Amino acid sequence: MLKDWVISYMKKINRIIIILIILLIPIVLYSVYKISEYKEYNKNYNNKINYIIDYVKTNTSLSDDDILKMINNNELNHNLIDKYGYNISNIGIINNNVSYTKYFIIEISILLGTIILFMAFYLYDNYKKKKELDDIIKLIDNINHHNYDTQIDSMSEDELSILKSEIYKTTIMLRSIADNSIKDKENLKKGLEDISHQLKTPLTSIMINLDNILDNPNMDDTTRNSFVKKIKKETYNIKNLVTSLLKLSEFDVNTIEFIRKDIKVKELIDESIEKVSSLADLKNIKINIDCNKTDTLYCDKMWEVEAISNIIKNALEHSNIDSVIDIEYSDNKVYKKILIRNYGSTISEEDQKHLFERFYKGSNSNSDSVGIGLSLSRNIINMDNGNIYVESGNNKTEFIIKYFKKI
Amino acid sequence: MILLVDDNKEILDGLSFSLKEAGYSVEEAFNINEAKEKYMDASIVILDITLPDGNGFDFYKNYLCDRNIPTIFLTANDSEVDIVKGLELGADDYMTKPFSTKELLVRIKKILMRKENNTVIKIKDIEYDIDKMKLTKNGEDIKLTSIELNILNLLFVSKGGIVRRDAILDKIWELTGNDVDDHTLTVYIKRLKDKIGSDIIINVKGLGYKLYEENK
Repeated sequence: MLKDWVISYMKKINRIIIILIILLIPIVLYSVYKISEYKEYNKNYNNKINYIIDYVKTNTSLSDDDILKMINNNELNHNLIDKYGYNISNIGIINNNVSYTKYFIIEISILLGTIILFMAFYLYDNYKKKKELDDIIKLIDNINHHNYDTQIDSMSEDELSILKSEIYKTTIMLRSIADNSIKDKENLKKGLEDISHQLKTPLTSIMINLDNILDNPNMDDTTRNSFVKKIKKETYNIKNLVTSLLKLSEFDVNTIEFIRKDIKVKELIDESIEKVSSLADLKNIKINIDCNKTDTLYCDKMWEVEAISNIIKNALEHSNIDSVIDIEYSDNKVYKKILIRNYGSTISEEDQKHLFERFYKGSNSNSDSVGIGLSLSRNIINMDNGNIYVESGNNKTEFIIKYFKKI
Repeated sequence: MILLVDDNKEILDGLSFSLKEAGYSVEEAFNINEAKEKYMDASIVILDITLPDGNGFDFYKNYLCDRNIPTIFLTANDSEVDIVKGLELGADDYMTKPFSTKELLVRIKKILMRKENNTVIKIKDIEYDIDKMKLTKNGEDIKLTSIELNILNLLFVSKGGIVRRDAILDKIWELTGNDVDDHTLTVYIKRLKDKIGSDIIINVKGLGYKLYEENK
């Protein structure tokens, strides 16, 4: 900040210096000229007086003393020049014609030169200012056409440069607000479409089962019960869907407030596992944790647990029965890493590409799952300054989460 | 008496039915005005937060809090949950919609037990704390897996009645998203019995399971 102020101050000084120099040159020249003119006139007068003295000395009998008195005489007793009808103001007793013209030309040249110099300076200044204004106009025009790729010329004059950079900042900000608001609306619209689409499936199933029950009052209890249970299942699916979708929508319109603290990584992992402990139990999967008790992560605990548990759930769903899941934490200068490894079917290349997309269901996913968990996880992890990717091959799959440290 | 306060008639009717089936006496209120007249004799209030004539939190603060009437809030979204937690009632005293009546019944039971300062159920030499979900035998913790614990919890929560096999299968589906076959269930129950050691789980042929009861 101080450096910027010094630079702009120096630019102002530069300008003043240039103006001073432009002023100084003619002043100096003019002074030099005036001095030499004065000297020349002086010389002429002195020469003339010398001639007069010489003539007097040669042609009269005045003594040296008298001549000195004559030189120093200040009285005007006879005023011969006036008597002879000459105007003492106008007459050129001394022959200065040549010098006078020469000096007149020099004087006019200096004057004209200065004027031209000033005009040149002024025009140049104006030209530069106009060019900068044109630049600013072009800048705004570019931004309006979504071309943000412009350089601010920092070598130019100060006020306009500041103006330029402020306009740039403001315009970019306004543009991005406008763009975001359009994007938000589009996201909202798409979100609603997705929700409506996803809800229709379980609702259809419910309606079919209800119709079956109502249309067949003589249906036996076992069959009826099985239909009713199906309906119950579908309502649970709807409930889970609605909850997940709400969370995702909150992300879409950026209304979530993360409350971040330093949370122990072990605690995060333990709580995430707890959320899916029944599934792990069902498939008799042992979860190995490799992380020390003191490492922490700066994040919102509730959301991060949601994210990690979704990934562990995914890992569990794709694991073989009686297998293990490894969760490993490691740390280096650039990032903190959590790795979740499961053994089971390999995720195909195709699936890997789309795995984190909303509603994407891989080729061997549970038919009741809707495909939101991983998408939500990725959103949350991104918000906590991290990213997640998957590597899968040889019946082994690894989800890798990296939280980048602030440098 | 349990007081139900909700402005939705379907919910009120449904809950009322389940609670009465479970043996409780129930009063209904559609709004705060009605609730103001009926809460005095309530041992528990089930309170919806968004009511047509005011805010459930205010009603709680002004009428129920001082009288220490346990309240279960019915919340529609997370921010309301945060407010409930902020009221320092303890995280258990809210239910997010949608919820099942079974869950509500379990909550009610827990609250009533907590009120008596007795959340531990004793059978033979086994003690089970319904609130903390911990099983001890002769003072020592018995460690159960997640599913085993949930099955046991289901049995204790339904103490005095029979838990149908169906209900247990349902619960497992709720927890894991997976259907489990009948045989697997039998294996789970056997494992549970083995871990407990004492003979407290009784097989009711053709129906399900129940807990051992002293007075037969």
